[in-house]
Amino acid sequence: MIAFPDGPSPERIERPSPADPAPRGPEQPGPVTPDVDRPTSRNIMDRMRKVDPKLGRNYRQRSGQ
Amino acid sequence: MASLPRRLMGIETEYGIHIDGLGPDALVKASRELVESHPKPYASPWEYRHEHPRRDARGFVVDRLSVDPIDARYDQAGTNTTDNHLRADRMLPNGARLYNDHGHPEYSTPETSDLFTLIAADKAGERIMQELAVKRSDLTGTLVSLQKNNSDGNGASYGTHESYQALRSVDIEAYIRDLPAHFATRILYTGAGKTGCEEAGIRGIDFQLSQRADFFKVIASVDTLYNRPLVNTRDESHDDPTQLRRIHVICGDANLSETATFLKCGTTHLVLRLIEDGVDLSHIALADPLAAIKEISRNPLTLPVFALKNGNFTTALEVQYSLLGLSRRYEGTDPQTDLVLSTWKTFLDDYAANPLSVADRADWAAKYTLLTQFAEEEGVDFKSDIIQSLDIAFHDIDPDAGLHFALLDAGDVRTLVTDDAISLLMEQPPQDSAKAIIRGHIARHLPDAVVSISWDEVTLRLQSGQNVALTLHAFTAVAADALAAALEGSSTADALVAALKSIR
Repeated sequence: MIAFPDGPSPERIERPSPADPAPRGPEQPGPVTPDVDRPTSRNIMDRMRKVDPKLGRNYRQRSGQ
Repeated sequence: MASLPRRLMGIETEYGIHIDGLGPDALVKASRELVESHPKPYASPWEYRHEHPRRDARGFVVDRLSVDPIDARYDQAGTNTTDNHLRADRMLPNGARLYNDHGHPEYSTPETSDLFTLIAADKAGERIMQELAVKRSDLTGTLVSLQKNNSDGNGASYGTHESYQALRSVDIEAYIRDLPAHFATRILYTGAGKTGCEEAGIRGIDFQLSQRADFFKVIASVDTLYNRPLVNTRDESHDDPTQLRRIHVICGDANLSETATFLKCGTTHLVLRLIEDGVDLSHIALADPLAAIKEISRNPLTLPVFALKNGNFTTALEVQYSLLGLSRRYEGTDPQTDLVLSTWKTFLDDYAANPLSVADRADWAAKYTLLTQFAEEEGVDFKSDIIQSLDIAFHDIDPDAGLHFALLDAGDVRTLVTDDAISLLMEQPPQDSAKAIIRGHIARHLPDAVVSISWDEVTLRLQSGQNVALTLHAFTAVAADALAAALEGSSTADALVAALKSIR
């Protein structure tokens, strides 16, 4: 894994093509946990609490395409 | 030959169907009954003569298609019904196809080259399907719910397919060579998110980007039911087969987010342009696309590093930035292309800065954010029954039950099309597709004259008893106003055939 960069540099998408992505190996630093604002709507949480907890266990479908 | 600046596109969705107490063996009948509850007018029967699921674009026909051995057990006590009865195939007045596909009610949008129209047509499908679910629920007294998803979380997967008109003159091997890099990495925005993992032997996955990534076994083949490929090579043009092929994409997820659909189809259109224009994409050819899509999917908040064929290493973000950079050569083609490019860039920038900042555009991020909040508030983990159930409920297309729709109501999801546009596409075909316009006219006004119908051919019975087959792509070049005028006065099959002959 590698950590997310601070943000893509503009030249990343401006560079002449075709261009190889920079060679990198798995020795890069580990992942970072993002800091995220979460939804606060009580309505959504209320709707979630109404979901049948057995739905996932009982939900069986035919295999399709 | 230059690439197609615009191409007809469509989206087919096999919906999940849930009725309390019914197992998979009963879902073929339940799905058929739901489809059959669609009110008239519609046109049928479907003409299967034009379907060639075993014909490979590489120039051969396979003996048989792979079948899921678990699913096959449900078919052993199959009925003697004909295909048409079982599939209940019908063409709707908006040019869409509705049928029972292997126990899933499937809605296939009419084709259009306009991304906003495509989104509206896809959303129109959701609403039409929900109307049928309500109708069946009222009739049977048992709740029938439909989910726009691609997995039951228990090992069964079903598809949401994209179709793209593409140049026949470009060797199919070019598409097979170059598309996997895009397909494996576009799940950053196309992923609908899924709890757990459905690949045998893989444990410890709480959540992944893609509903479908677990199910791909080979790079290219005609199969769709089992041993699924990243690149489906089924050779069905649905248009002029001497000039155009159809790239049938089966590795995408069902998207509820309009932005996800916009990016899914908009970026894939541009990548197809790159391939058609012979742009060298060898620098992003993946060493193992099947391993890459699974690795990317199973690490939604980090950037797995994977190998390229040239020996370098890269990430999904870098591959997508590279494709974006190459696609900027199409800037200025039209406003829609420019919007795809800017939306694509903004999405990648935002994901790079903070993966969950795209929760207003990517279904997987919206779902992950919701489930995480619920899990923390309720003190449950991602493997609990309730979280698995909420995963299914996210995709429920009942606006009063589905979690996506709760987010939509709360203003937490971006939209791109209006309610009016969606309502219009429930009733009428896209106005940029002559084929869809003619099919829709026939389904609405002349259903009783239809001998058979398919995407590109309709056979009508004339008053004399003679049958006439209309090849619809022959009218693609007809001016829209001339086509509209021809259809307006055609209230009989004879009049329609005469009018179409006069403008061709």
